[in-house]
Amino acid sequence: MSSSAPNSPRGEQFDTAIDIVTPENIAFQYRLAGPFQRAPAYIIDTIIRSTVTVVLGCLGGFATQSLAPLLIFHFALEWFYGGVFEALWHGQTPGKRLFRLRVLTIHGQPINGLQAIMRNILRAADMMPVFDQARDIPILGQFGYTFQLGVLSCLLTSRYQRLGDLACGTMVVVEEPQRLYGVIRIDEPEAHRLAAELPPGFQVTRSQARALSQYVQRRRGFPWPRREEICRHMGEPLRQKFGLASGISYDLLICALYLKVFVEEHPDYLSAPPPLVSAPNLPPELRG
Amino acid sequence: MQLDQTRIPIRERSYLELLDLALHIVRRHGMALLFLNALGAAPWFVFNFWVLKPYAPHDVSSDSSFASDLFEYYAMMACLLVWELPMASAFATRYLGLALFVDRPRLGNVFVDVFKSLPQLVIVQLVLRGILTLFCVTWLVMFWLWPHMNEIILLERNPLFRGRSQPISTFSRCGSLHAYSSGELLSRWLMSLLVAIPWVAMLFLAMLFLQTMVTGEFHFGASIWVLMLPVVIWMVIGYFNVVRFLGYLDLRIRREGWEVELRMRAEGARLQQEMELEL
Repeated sequence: MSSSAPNSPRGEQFDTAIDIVTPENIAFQYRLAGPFQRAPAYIIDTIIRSTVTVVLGCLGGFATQSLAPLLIFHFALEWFYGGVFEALWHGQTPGKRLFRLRVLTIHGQPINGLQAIMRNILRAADMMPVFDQARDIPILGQFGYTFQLGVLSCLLTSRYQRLGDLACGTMVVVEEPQRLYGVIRIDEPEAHRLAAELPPGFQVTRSQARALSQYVQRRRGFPWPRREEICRHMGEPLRQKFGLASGISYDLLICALYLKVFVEEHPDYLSAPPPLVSAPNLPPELRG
Repeated sequence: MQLDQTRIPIRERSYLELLDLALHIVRRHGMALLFLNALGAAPWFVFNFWVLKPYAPHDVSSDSSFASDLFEYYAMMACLLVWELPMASAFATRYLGLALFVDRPRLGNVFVDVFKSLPQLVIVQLVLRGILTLFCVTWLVMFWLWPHMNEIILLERNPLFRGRSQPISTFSRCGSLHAYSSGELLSRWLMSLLVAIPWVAMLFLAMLFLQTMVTGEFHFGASIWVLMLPVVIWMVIGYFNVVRFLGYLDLRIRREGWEVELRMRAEGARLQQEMELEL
């Protein structure tokens, strides 16, 4: 399997997305979770651990006078809570599940038990440096664990790996549902009239089709002057190319071209249930 | 420069994702950002040190009112920082604006561009903001309602006032960009504080740890508070400059459909080129 880092040759872009290609030549794209996206999950897990310890401490305190069982339980909870959950829940703890995070290997496969346990035990290293002298300082003393080694490790690695992740070959990804779009209905009758006036046989390129599709998906959220401002860039050359009168609404021209490309030449798109394709939605011949 | 091929993919992001993405930017452009942030912050660091010198807390062991002195000192520094932030981050903001489209922006271009925007920066961010800070209004207007004024001045470069040939001014663009987003901007501002304050504390402790390791003794005197902690604060501010820039892109995407505009502009340019070739 091969994986490309977020700033790999794929256009030398900076993104939290990562491409992973399986041996079957199937590509997956994951969105990486950095330290800031992981922090809320860690806080939730810490709250759960603390609550369980306090509750059992209260219950155990009444039952027995000995602290030893509680301390052993607290030790086990602190060191193995994350590891056991991640091993049993395929890379998730309750906090991670709540925030749709999952631990995977750097090749995109589920982690095994050893990786789950080790990366959680090594969290202690990521919490360094621990500054014991600070415990006497008001307010600051609460931040004995500085976590700076973990943050530094995430800063220096392209997959936001803390030391535990580096040692175990793991990474944390965000599970997000893919947004799917069908053909967008355009209600303006002027756009339909204009679409009929456009010269037949005009072929749009794949990137032009993407631009049309992206604009029509978003245009309802923009005020009218903004629509014109956006569409002028592509609309003016198109107006000249089609020999249309000046003063035409660029927004309607773009909508008309969208109708021509996506609807009129593929009327089944509207009669049949909308095709579920990843955005931007393209006619079959333009997908690739 | 291909307008639809930005170095940072243009799409909507959550605030936590922006905080993470800023790590990538810092890794890639770390040295340049460190230099430009230091260049912007150094004069203000010296200025703050000089202005607040009479209020500097004495040694922790020699004065029982140390905590109240410290609070007073940092409350005054916070007010100064509110006023100084836009000017201090001007170089880094302009650099990031260029880094969106080119791999290695030239520092010479950054200085020239900031110099061109200097009149507006001085009028709006130094004089007007200074006056508003005195009345504590800046906290609301500049942070909550119009937090991206600096980006608009430095990156959009609209005129300060509307004219016949210039229908969009800095203030009108600022107003339209931030309109109806005040709730989200306030939550982002609070989130920034929620992240920045513990981070300053933890980074400060890490620096103290390093100092103790290097010198071999734990000295917690007044110099730590008036020199080391402000340095840490400026470092975290430098990081949040990047986050604020990414937040500006995100707001433009949500409010103005900027990613759509970039694509349309690129397609328009290609169409124009094709038509010229056909002729």
